[in-house]
Amino acid sequence: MICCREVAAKTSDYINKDVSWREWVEIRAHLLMCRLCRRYVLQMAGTVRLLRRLRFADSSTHDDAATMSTSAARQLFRSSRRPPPTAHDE
Amino acid sequence: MSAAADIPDETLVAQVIAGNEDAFASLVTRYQRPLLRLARSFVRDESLAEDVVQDTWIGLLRGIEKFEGRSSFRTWLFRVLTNRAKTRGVKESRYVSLEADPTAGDGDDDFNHEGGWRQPPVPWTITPERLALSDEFRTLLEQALAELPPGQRAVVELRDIDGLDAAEVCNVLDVSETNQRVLLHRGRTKLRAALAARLG
Repeated sequence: MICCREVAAKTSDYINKDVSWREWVEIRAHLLMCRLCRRYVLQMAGTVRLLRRLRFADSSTHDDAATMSTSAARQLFRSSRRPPPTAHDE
Repeated sequence: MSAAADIPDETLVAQVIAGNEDAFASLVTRYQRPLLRLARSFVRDESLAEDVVQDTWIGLLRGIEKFEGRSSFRTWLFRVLTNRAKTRGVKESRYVSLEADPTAGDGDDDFNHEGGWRQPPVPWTITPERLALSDEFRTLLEQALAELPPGQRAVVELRDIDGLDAAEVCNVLDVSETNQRVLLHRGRTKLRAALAARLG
C-alpha cells in the first residue's frame, strides 16, 4: 500500500494519465480510503483546470506588451520582404 | 471567434510563404502572448523579453521557408524563441538558465517520517470553477507563475496554458523527459500551494 507522500509525488502524472496500470490501481485504492489525498488530488486537478483557463482568458484582457497591432505585424512583414538597398537606390 | 482563429497553423504558414501578410498577422495574433509569456521565463527584464519576441518574428519571416513540418509549427516557433532568448540573454548577461531551479520545495515538509500528512491540505472555501468566474484568479495565478523558478514556470506554461504535450516541451526547452516531469510537478505543487493560501 503506497503512502500519502507517494500519492502526492505521483499526483501530477496521475492527472496527466501518465502512470502505469499498476500505479493507477495503487493510487485509486489509496484515494478510496484517504480523504486528505482525495482533497489534494482534486485541488491539484483544479489548479491545472484554472491554468488552462488562463489561455482562454488571454484574449479578453489588455496587456499592451502582449498584443502587437495588426498594422505593426503587417509593417514587420513588409520590411522583411523588402530587398536590401543597392548602390543604385542610394 | 473569428474565422482566422479556426485556420490551422500549417495553412497560415503556407500562406505566409506565398506572401500573404494577413496570414502573418493572424499568426502574430495567435502567438504573441504565449511567446511573450515564455520569453519572460528566460529573461526577467521586460523590455528584453519584448525584444526577444520581436526577434523571433523577424527570425520566423527570414527562415519560414526552412520549416519542413517535422515538428508542429508551434513547437518550431517556441524553439526559435528559446534559441533567441538564450542568444540575447547570454549576450546581455540576463539569461536565466533552466538548470538554476532549486531542487527543494516540492512539499516534502508536508509529510511525517511514515509518509502520512503532517500538514494536510485544508478545504478550499470556493471551487476553482467559481474562482474562474472572477478576474481575481488571473491575477493570482499570474503572480504565482511569476514567482516560480524559470524551468518550472516555462514547463507549466507550455504544458498547462499553451497545451503542448510532454515531447513537444522537451523539444522546445531541450530538457529530458524525466526533468520535464519533475519541473511540471514541482511547478504545479507550488501553484496549488499559492491558491491554497488564498482559498484555504
